[in-house]
Amino acid sequence: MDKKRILIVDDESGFTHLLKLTLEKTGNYLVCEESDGTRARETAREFKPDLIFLDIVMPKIDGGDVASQIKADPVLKNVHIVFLTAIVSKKEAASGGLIGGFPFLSKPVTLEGIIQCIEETLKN
Amino acid sequence: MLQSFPDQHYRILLIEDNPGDALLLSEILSEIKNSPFELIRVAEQLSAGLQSIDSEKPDLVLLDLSLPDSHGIKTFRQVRNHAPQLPIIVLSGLDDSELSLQTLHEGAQDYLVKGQFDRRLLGRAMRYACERQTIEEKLAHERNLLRNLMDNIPDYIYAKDLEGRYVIDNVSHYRQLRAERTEDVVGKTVFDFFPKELAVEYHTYDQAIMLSGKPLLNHEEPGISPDGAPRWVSTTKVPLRDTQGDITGLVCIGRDITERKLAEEELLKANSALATNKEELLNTLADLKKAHEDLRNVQLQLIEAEKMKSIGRLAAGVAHEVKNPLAIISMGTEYLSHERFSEDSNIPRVLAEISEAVKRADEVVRGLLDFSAPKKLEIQDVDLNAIIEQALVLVRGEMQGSRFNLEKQLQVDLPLLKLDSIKIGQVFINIFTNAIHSMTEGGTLCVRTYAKQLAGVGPNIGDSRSESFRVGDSVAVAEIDDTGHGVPEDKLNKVFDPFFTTKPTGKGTGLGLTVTKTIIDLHGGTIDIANRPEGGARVTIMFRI
Repeated sequence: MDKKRILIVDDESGFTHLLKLTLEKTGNYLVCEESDGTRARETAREFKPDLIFLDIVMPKIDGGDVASQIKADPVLKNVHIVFLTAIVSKKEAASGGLIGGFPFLSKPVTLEGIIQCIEETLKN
Repeated sequence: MLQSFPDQHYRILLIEDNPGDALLLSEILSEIKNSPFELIRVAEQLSAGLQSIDSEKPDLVLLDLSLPDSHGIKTFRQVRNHAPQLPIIVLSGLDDSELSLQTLHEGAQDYLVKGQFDRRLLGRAMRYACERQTIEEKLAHERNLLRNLMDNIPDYIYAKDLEGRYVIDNVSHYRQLRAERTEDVVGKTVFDFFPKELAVEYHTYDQAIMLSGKPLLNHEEPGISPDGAPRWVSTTKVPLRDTQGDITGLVCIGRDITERKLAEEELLKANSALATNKEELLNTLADLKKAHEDLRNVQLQLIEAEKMKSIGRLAAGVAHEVKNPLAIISMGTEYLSHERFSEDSNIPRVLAEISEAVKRADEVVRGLLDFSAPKKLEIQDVDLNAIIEQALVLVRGEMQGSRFNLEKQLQVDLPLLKLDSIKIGQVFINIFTNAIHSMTEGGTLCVRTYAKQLAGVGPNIGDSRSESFRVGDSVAVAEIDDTGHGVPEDKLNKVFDPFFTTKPTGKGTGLGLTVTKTIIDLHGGTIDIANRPEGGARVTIMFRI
């Protein structure tokens, strides 16, 4: 079975690095890190991910704009996007709703939570 | 009577053309003992007599009517017209009763027939004539004085006889009746001057006074003037009595007090207007005070909103900067927990404690975000009991594992309330969780709801701290009792302060009740926490119905 390809776009390189190590250690995922939001689309075209974890607050561009670029790209438009953000209140986190139409995870996350999210999103 | 003028001296003019008669008269006069009379002149013609009246100013004229230059009643009239005040005794050779009556009627003091009087009769006639004249002068003087008095005072005065006919009145009165002279009024009644209804009223009053003999003093009564204008009159009416004490009519002194009455009415109106103005001023003052209070509240709310905005920005910044490192720590511990890199058996426990610490830090940051989240309510008509039931379901997990009792006393017909059900649900979850956490050994959680009308001053009723409710307001009350350890008395006034907690370190964020209070405040409700005498705490929440 092919490994699922996960792209993490987040300026927190420490976090992306640990997430990559942890996910890849399960043996089920191939993870690519991108710490520069402006390069996200380019990296995605090269890496061809099944799912992108996208930070919202980044220095040069925010996650919402990156999501728009990817959804506007004919090659990438069907790639799943999940926001992974620090700025979510208890109520928003508990509501299980969407941000801008995309599902989201609130930092900090557990490995279990991440894997559950990946599997459910890709199943749909 | 004669003795009343003992020192008087009367000067007599005799107008007589017959020397014999003149001599005879002179002799009679001289025969009168201690005579006060002095015959100063005998005029043989009328013209001479008139001259003598002018020049010698006699006190009495003895007048023969048949003179060379005048005859009969004409003689008398000429003397009378020449000196109207001078007493005249007519001496006539004719015993003519018609002529005598005529002269007496026209003012002669006496009519004596020559040859039919002696010195006694003449003396008495002359004395009476002079005395009568003096009395008449006095009477005339008094009449004149009375008339002047009556006509020169502004009050109107009149007298009436028993039938209500005017007998006398003054200038003010007849002018008030629109008459030109007293003569236009005398003999008439009120029916000649006033509308019938009013005239009947006046007449009845007058009759009552004359029948009862009781005077009416300073009686103020409405009336109308003969031209129909409404007037106010103050009258004093006194019964008139004759010398026998019998009532013969009444006398009235009246005063038109219309101007005074109008002034009094104006004064009353002004007073009333003043009272109204005062009331309006007080109302305006109360409105101003309320407006000022409202403004102050709005200002406080604005300050609070601005503060919350700042806190919100700060919280978002803190969340981002804290949560990212937390995410790294969290992910790091995840990685390490799957790696066997040491024989140290404590490693899994250390990693678990790190994970727990991350969770706690994350809870605090989330609480801060909730506390500073925009305060928008989604108000709907909701059933408070249903919200409480849902919240109880959500905290059921917390009650497992210990000996907990749950008592519910929810009023079934509680009216629907205008609330944000999600936020109020959060409130009850917070309070139930706190109650359960305070009962470390287990206990009873009692939830009660009921509606009531506020009857007295409570902690949140019409006091200066919070004027949420007033006496008479209908409210829905929710009471949550626990049997836990309660709140230390010295901490009771701090329970709603941010970051205040009585829970052991790591058990609470210190923001739960702060958020709860904020939500209740946004709904215009109140929340109070008190220790129960029997132990544990009671939280009382009230919402306006």
